[in-house]
Amino acid sequence: MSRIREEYIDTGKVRFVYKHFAILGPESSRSAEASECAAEQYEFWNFHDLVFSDQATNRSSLDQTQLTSLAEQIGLDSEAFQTCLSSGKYSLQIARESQAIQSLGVRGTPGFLVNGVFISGAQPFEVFEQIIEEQLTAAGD
Amino acid sequence: MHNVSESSSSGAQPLPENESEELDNLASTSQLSASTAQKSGGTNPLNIGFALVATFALGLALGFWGRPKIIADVPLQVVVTVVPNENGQAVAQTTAPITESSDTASESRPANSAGNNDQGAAPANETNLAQGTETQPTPTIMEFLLADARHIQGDDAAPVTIIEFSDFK
Repeated sequence: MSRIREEYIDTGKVRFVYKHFAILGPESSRSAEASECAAEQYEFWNFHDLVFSDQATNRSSLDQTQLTSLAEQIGLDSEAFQTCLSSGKYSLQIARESQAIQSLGVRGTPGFLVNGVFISGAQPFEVFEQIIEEQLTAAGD
Repeated sequence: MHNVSESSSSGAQPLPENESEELDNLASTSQLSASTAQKSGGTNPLNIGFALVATFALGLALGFWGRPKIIADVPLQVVVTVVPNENGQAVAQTTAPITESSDTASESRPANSAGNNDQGAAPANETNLAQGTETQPTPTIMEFLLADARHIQGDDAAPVTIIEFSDFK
């Protein structure tokens, strides 16, 4: 993700969009809700990166304590974050978003669409690079 | 205490003269009303039958002419089917048109510290679907997914868009 950001997003060649696809049970729904609570404080992407980094290295359980700890690491207002997370106000929205993606036939996570080209699973940077370059060429960039 | 049985038994007693006249007037009025009703056809079984048939015919006509218009105006649901196009890209086909997304919504959001247009805190009434300006009969799957996207980073005019659908777990 960091290389895609450095080489394509920050250079204006790629726009990156995140959609919730919380299909792995209550813990994934709660994590998605936590990211929305981080978004309330305009820190969605920092939270996004930190959670995936944590999952890649520690694979720690994403309970409320851990989520709050991650939120504090990126400087979020802990009390507001916990209040938001406890309210469950984003649960329905996340469920709907996940259902909409599921209705398109997507079954696994993560998944990516690069200008409509589907990439299944966590792939190395080179896979993204090849497709992005093809799309940039097709777009005449 | 008032005795009901005593009151009811008083019906056998002769009425006073003025009350008898009132009853005669009442009876003649009732006969007149019944006669009038019969003349106007209100109780005629043929007329009732005619009214029922006419109502039934009217209902059929309304159903025949009105139903297609109602269905055309109000799509009940949108069914999205994903099919590949000639370039091998996934394309969403819908039974009803989806409004074009408006990317200008992201421009009105404040950028965060990383310079990203994070629309996560946007109220529900700011969704792009509500701001549709034109219809597309066959939107691509990208357009379908971008219609209500809230977490976006990068340039809106970038030639390539990546959509990640993922689970934090």
